[in-house]
Amino acid sequence: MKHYTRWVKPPVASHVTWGCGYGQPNARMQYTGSSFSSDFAQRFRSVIVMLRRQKAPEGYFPTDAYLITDCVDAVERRLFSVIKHGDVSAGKLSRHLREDDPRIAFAAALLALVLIAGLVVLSTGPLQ
Amino acid sequence: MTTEIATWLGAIHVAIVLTLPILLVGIVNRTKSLWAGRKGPGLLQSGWDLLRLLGKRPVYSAVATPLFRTGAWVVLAAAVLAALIAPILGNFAPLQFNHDFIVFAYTLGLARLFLMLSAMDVGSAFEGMGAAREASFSAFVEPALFLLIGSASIATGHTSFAGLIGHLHSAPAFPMLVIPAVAVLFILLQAEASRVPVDDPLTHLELTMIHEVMILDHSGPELAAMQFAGALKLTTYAGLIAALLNPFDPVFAPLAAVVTTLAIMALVAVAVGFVESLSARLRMRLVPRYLLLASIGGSLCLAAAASTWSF
Repeated sequence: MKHYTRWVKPPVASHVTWGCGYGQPNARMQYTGSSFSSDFAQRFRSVIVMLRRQKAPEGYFPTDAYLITDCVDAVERRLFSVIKHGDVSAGKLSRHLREDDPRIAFAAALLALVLIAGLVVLSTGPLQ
Repeated sequence: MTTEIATWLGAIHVAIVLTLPILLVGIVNRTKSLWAGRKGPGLLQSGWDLLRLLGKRPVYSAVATPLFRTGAWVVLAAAVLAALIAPILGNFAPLQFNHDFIVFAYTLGLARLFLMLSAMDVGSAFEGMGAAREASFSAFVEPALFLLIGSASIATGHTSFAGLIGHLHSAPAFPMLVIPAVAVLFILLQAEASRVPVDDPLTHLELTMIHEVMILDHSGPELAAMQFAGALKLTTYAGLIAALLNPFDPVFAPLAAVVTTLAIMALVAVAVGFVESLSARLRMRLVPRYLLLASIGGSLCLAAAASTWSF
């Protein structure tokens, strides 16, 4: 019996996270992405832009203080800029077009026919 | 290579991977003790500590998820896998295939990822800070490893990790490569195994820690897994240094290769102990600069390998 109890361990215990005295931490209090990477980003601050907006707490019981940081991803920003630009261009074009105009349908059908004919010609010749 | 020799070398490699982490940590601690004028703990003390931890009941944070519980074992499994890919004995590794060095690097990366995730899972601000530091510093470590591997690839033309390290001795660039390569691997060892001057495994002030602060909430068997994984990384990098310096081919002179490897790994552990006895941990802002030295060393290796490359 003694030998048996030696290898059967008691169930695991639960305790608060080590917080150096603060006993209510949880995973939702963790760092934001930009603060997690700030240590690395600070070393490359000449090429990595960090936007920061903040409102300092005022009074004894502040209610609307905030800190917003955003590590700007240049590639992502450019990508969204191009998409936005394309969207604006498409919007301008659509304002000049009327859906019920038969000339647009005729032009689209003609374009499709030309494309199909071109592919057929190419497939029997240069593309083979 | 005959099957019999491969089996024996594989068994010796696995034995080194399983036992040497305990012994190397013991040698490092004994060296530090002797420098401090003390006798110090026995060489196998860290093994007894691991056994003690394995017998303890773990205590989990109330907010920990299953990710926290599995994290330590993933870290250990990844460290074991990386150690089996690393050609500790020279031109041989139990797991060997084309471009396996990429698997080696990112297996260690997986271990690092799970270490950070399990640290952040419990919600401690201190452990999150340690995870951020780990992520930041590892970004400086990875280029050095790939520069070194790229240099060995240019110098030897091989595509497996064992082929790269094992045939480096016969490469024309070896005399120019060897010193910076050993220096790079030594810095990588200090960074991956959380040793002084990059990190201090003995400090217990949360604000100054990197690895230890991430495992503050680990206890019992999980803590043992984390500690063994750390020692295993030290063994892996010490083994890579040994493979670089070992002149014997394990296929043609297995006994001499194994004995020389063990002796060089012990010397590396003594060197780690020397550094830890004679220097303090670097200030946090200076750590990236120290790690950049490894990348500079890797660049020197690359230049040396390229200078002897015949088109």
